[in-house]
Amino acid sequence: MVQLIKDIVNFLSNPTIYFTIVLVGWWWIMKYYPLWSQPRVMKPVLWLSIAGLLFGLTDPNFAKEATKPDNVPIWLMSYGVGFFLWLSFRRGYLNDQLMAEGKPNLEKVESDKKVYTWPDLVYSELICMVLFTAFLVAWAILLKAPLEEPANAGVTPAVAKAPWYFLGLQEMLVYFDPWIAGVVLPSLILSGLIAMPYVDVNPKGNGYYTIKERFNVIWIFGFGFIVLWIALIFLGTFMRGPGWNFFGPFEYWDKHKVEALTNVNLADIIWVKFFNVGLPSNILIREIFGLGIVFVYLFALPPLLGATVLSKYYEKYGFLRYNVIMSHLLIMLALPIKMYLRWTLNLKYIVAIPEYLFNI
Amino acid sequence: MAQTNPNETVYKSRDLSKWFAIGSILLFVAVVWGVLQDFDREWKRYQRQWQRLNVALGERKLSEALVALDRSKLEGLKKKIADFDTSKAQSLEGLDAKIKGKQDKVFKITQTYQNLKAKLDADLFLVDVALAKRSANAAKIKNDWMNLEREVLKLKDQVTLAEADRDNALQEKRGYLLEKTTTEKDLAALVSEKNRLEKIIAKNEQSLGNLLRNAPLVDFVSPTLKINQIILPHLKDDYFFNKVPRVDRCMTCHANADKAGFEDLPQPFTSHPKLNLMLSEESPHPVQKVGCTVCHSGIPQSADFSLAGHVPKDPAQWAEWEDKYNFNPPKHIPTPMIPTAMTEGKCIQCHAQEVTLRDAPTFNAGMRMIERYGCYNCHKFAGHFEKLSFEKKTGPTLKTLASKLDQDWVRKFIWDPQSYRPSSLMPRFWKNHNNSDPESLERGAVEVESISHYLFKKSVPYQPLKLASGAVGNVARGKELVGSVGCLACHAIADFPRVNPKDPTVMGYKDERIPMVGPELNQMGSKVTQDWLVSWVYNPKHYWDNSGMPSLKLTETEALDIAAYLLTKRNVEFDSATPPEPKDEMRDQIVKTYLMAVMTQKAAGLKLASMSLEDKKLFLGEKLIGHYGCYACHAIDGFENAPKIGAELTYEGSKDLSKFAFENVHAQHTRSEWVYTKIRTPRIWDVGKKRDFEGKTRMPQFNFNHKQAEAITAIVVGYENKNVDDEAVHKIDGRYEKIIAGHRMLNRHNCSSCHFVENRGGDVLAHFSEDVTNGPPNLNTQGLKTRTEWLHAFLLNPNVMIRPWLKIRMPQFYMTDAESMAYTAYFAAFDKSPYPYVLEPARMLTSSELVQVEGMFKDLACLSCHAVRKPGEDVSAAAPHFANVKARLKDPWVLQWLENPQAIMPGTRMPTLWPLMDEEDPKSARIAVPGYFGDDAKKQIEAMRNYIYQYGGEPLFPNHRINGVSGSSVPSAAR
Repeated sequence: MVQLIKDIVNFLSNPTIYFTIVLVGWWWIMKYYPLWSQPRVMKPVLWLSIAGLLFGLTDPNFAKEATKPDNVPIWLMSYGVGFFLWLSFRRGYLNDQLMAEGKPNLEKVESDKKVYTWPDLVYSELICMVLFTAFLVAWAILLKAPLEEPANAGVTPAVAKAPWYFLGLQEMLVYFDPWIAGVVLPSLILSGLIAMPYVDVNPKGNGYYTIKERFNVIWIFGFGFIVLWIALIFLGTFMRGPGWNFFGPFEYWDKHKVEALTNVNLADIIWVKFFNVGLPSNILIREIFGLGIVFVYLFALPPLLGATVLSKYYEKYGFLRYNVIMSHLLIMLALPIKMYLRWTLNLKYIVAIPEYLFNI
Repeated sequence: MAQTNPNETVYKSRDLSKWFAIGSILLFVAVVWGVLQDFDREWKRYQRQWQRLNVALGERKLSEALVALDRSKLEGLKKKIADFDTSKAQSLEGLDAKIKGKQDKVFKITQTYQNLKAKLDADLFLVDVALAKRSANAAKIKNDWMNLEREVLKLKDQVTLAEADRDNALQEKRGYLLEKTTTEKDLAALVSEKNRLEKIIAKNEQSLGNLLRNAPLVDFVSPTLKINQIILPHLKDDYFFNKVPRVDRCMTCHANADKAGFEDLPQPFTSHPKLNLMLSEESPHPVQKVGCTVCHSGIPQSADFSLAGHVPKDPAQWAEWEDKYNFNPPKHIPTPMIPTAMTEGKCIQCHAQEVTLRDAPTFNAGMRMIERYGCYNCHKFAGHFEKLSFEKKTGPTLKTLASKLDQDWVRKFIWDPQSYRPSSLMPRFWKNHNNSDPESLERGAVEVESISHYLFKKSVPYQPLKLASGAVGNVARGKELVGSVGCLACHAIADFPRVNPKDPTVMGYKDERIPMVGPELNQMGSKVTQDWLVSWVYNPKHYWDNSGMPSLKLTETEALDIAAYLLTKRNVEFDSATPPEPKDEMRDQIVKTYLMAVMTQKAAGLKLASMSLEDKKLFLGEKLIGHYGCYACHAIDGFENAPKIGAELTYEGSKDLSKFAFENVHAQHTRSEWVYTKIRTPRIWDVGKKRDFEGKTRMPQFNFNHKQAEAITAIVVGYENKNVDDEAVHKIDGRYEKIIAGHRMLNRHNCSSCHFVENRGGDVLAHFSEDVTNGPPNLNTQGLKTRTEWLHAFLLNPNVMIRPWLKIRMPQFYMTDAESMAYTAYFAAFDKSPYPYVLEPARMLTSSELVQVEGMFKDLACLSCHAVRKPGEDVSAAAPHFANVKARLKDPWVLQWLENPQAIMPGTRMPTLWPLMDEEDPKSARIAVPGYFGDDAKKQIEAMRNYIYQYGGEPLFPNHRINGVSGSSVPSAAR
């Protein structure tokens, strides 16, 4: 029975299923927040997750990775993000109800009180500082820095993992060429964050929690942050072992594990599989389909959507804002699209021109 | 909600202060906790423990010292000093006043002198400027300066005089105080031991002062508990970006490792068990120079039990350490300690060229075993073994196999060599951990058949010597010969059991780990034919010119007798066994697999069908000999240039730990553990693994016991990346180079199986324990003893009978000139004798001297033993005759010999003719033979020596024939 549970968890933790669960989970979160943001629903979920964690710790393989001093922050992060996610949805839901009844929202009630620099701000900050310092000292004593042997250029570790906060990026490297996963995508994350205040034309939701008034925006941001960032960090920490191979939470991290990875490029699929001919020698002809798809996706799709299903938004945001939003959105969506293509078609690159180090 | 009081804050100050107080207390506790964590170090516990022990030891010694202290004398001395002080106080005051006056004068005049001297030095610059500018008053300036200089010189004299005056006064005072100072010195000597012990106690006891010195946060000033470290500038640690001198901190806890007298204390306070060799100040390896980790490995800079790389020897010890030391080693220990039984392998770090070291039996055994078992044939080792691999393969040649053996025998033998001869050095390739399943056994039968078939096909014809053909030897005579002529030095045979002495310093002691040089002879009759064996024992080189077996200069009859005796020795069980039966399908399958590596499945099938049985066997034979590397140890036709098949082991000791694949074997992850396991069970790694034939480990199964495997492991893990600077390694000068070359030669010809040399070996002497004089002579002082040219000639052709009573024979090794030279150079270098040695012309005796010597000669009855014996005469009481003394011996050595023969050859029959007056004292004079040379023993000995050197006619060199032993009966073809 115990082993069956473990096997099921291992199976469900496979990147494909895990990612799909998270994706569906986010959709579910956004859809049913009135239900799950109630404490009476969330409390059992919290207890269940803690019970699951304790159950997991009885397994040596799980416990080994879960209690590594460098992995402890991930638990803090996971539960922290979960808690604040719940809090914001709870308050947003309550506010939405209050406002629907025409009453002032929760933040309005609070902000009517006067807040003094002393003691409300400075003193409480000082207290937080003192408490947090004590916490950090105790942490440093209890969980020793996980030092290893001296670095040796001739003996690299079986897996070189990025710092935990970059593990999402490292996961992207599995699906994209380094110049995209390592340069373009992170830059677009930054530029997207910078662009946010300029493209946001919705004046509501300022200074208080709300879901209804900003539903779509929350949906998109949460998708980028929870699904494509936090969930991938969790995956990279606990489910990626030696050789960046996938390991279920209850699997032993055996560095000799080998995974069959025979990936093909789009050109291979089309020319060889469909047309049953060899690859054309001319690079442009060879990659014509890939280039075409990328072109259509990035340059033809936005105006097309703007003219049809998204015409409402095009009018609301105007040409420049619309295109900035769309380009970021499409590239963000490209990540899950590429992931699913990899899992279903073993697709390596849509455009593969290794001759000029240009792969998409 | 309504508007609240504007003075009301969101948080109440009282609450915040409460939280601030709680936070502050928590932070304080956390900081104190951190400091204590940093302060509480494991090594301090051991140092405190040692301090307590040290105080207890010191107090015990102090109480003994106090008992021994002569109190009345102490009081007397104290009183004397007090009396002196009271009685002489007044006159001392006067003296002091006088000295002070003189000292003041010195001070005053010195001041004046120094001021003026400074001005003089400064003015020199003005003089130079004036001269350079040719100014008008240059001459005056110069003149003034010179006047000043004269004045300064005058003052200097005055200073000297004043100082002398003051010194006289001081001297006067010293003389006056002499009585007191001597008394004080006596007093200090009397209490010096007491003071020393008190100091030790004061430094180690838990006094308030010491507690303060070691208190947290102030212990950086001058603690009594501190890390003790040795910096080793010539031993570098490679941190991959930089090489850094090693810092050993072992002494932080192992406080007494380099001091004698703590042998009985428990770890970590015990003394090193081999202090005369290691660590102590007087030893060749003082701790300040070599440290600890160069031999023991481990993490040198760690002072924590688990982090230092301690390795328990078994799970029981692991559990014990967990209780005792909280043992919890991290995974990443790049250099775990090696077991103490294997530390001698690390000698290689500095003694990379040597093959034999004086006080390192395990090192010697390991090196010798690698040579004997032929590890170097498959594995490359830099240094000694690399040279060796160009010289000789370990196993016999197989190029003329067919004339010696029969094919069934070969198949049975290689299938399981130990079933024929339990002590065989030939390892087993089949029926091991990864090929004992039924399919592998079937496969093995085919492999064995193919390999032997290939060997027999490629074998070239060889005709044994036809000696007294048709004659049958006498078994009883053969047995006697085997027991006496020297076969037993290299071969074991059940009829002649040997009892190994327990004490390694006794002649005839043999390290049990090192196998005999020759094969055991208990099964000879099951192996070879009479013709071949007679020819072989008569002259091994005739069959195989690179054989290590020398010729014992047997006559034809002797060879026949020995062969007859050896052929009676049979292994009945082996005789009746049958070789494994190969199956045709299996053979076809293997051939096809090999073919498919280079052609398609279809082509392979066609090719297979076209091959005859003969073709298949030959094809497989060649493939498999290449696969298993038979050619590494045996000369095989077609494999003359094949490469070594094993991994290079030159850097095995520093190979990264992660590169040792332990697979499914549960063992401690250390290099020594892996290598040891590999040596004892080479194919264990494949257990529980799916491997195809080519992927299986191939190292064969040797039959090493625990001790043997340990010694070989020691050597293998002793080979490391070079991290000792050239300055620190053992210097190899010209002399030492010759000694090392000599050691290699001793191993090659296995001299120490017969001769006791460098206080080791003489294995065969175990058969002569009742009278060592019947065994081969020991080689003490050989370099001082025999003349270079004589020894050289003797080694090339040892056909001179020196000791007529010996039945054991010095064999003919068919050495090359260079080999013989290497020996003469080695012996001379070892005994620090001039090389080459030139005999001084003998001093002619005067007629009166001659009369006296001859009288002495007769009195001592020298000739009763040292006479030439005629053939057939009884030689049991004979001694080397004088005729070849001059040709053979160095003249200074003869003096040494006459003085004390027992010192050179313990147990010799030669009496001590000039014994010591006082036997206890080797420096005392010797008792002379009465009536000659004024009863001066020294003169008598010298005269005797001179007489012997004039005695007899022409010196006899080894190319002369004596006593019927002939060296030239060996066919010239063998040379």
